[in-house]
Amino acid sequence: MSDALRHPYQTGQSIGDIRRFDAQLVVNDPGISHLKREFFLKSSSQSCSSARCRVDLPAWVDEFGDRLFRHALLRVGDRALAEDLVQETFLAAHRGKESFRGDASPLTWLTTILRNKIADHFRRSSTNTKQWSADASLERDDVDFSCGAEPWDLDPSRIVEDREFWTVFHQCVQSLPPILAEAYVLRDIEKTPAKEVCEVLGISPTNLSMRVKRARLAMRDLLQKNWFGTNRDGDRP
Amino acid sequence: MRQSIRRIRYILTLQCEEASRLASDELDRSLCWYEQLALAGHRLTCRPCRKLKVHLRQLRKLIQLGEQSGQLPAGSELKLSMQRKCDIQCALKELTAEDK
Repeated sequence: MSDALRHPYQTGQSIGDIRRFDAQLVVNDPGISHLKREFFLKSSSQSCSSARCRVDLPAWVDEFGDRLFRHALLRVGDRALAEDLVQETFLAAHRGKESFRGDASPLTWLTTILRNKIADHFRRSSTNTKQWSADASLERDDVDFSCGAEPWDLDPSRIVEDREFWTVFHQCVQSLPPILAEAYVLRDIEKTPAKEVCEVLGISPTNLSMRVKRARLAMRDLLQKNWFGTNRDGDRP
Repeated sequence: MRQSIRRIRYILTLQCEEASRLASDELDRSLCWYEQLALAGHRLTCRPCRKLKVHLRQLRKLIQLGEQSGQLPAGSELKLSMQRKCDIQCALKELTAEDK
């Protein structure tokens, strides 16, 4: 079989190559309808033009560095460590720049690498799993709704001023299981569009909706246990 | 017809698990008419799910205010330090030179 006829799957090329190859097959098929051919030509040309997108890492450090840093900081809670992870991300991106075909935006690509770096970090240090195991049961029946006063009804502008609340909040985010924490940080804190989050995490919108729901319930339960469930006048139960 | 029966059954038999998913989705998108009806009906009889709505909204409000007040890195002016940016740029230059 000549190289020209070999499917990119067989030559180990990227998803972008595979899409372009498939589009070419469709366009060359005489039995395909006019509308379908136009659609594939359009999507193929879009993909090809974006594939020419150049990897300009030095410029991307200035453009996306801060955003990646804030994402890392939310996940690990340590400034120096977050900076290290961002640096590792850019170095890994340099090593793997050949694999960037422009199918996703540079920020999505870099966030995916950063996500892997954060996962590696948590794998190396088992502290995260230890923290989580203490609050592992997140079934809704476990939550105590019966506390007499309802601290959740407090004026949010008063809670926001309490620095202790934010310390607890960050600890809660970091003690979520990584799979939920990344969905929560991207979706609820960074307000990344759902489509982009799906690309970064490599999951379907339905799956994302389930993860975000679990993360929100987990955050609610953790805050209930660690902050709202305690008496703010200093008399902790 | 079959779809209508399915929706009526959905409205009448919504459980807490699905209701909590809808309560979460409600924050991101507008629910369909039958989802809204099912959720409203479920909340009439389920106190924990009524509270969940308040808690999720309060949490969202807190995040918004946290961003505005700079307590959350996502909304603050917190940036990667210039020193670190220079370090990364230098490391990238070295790697590029090595490649050549």
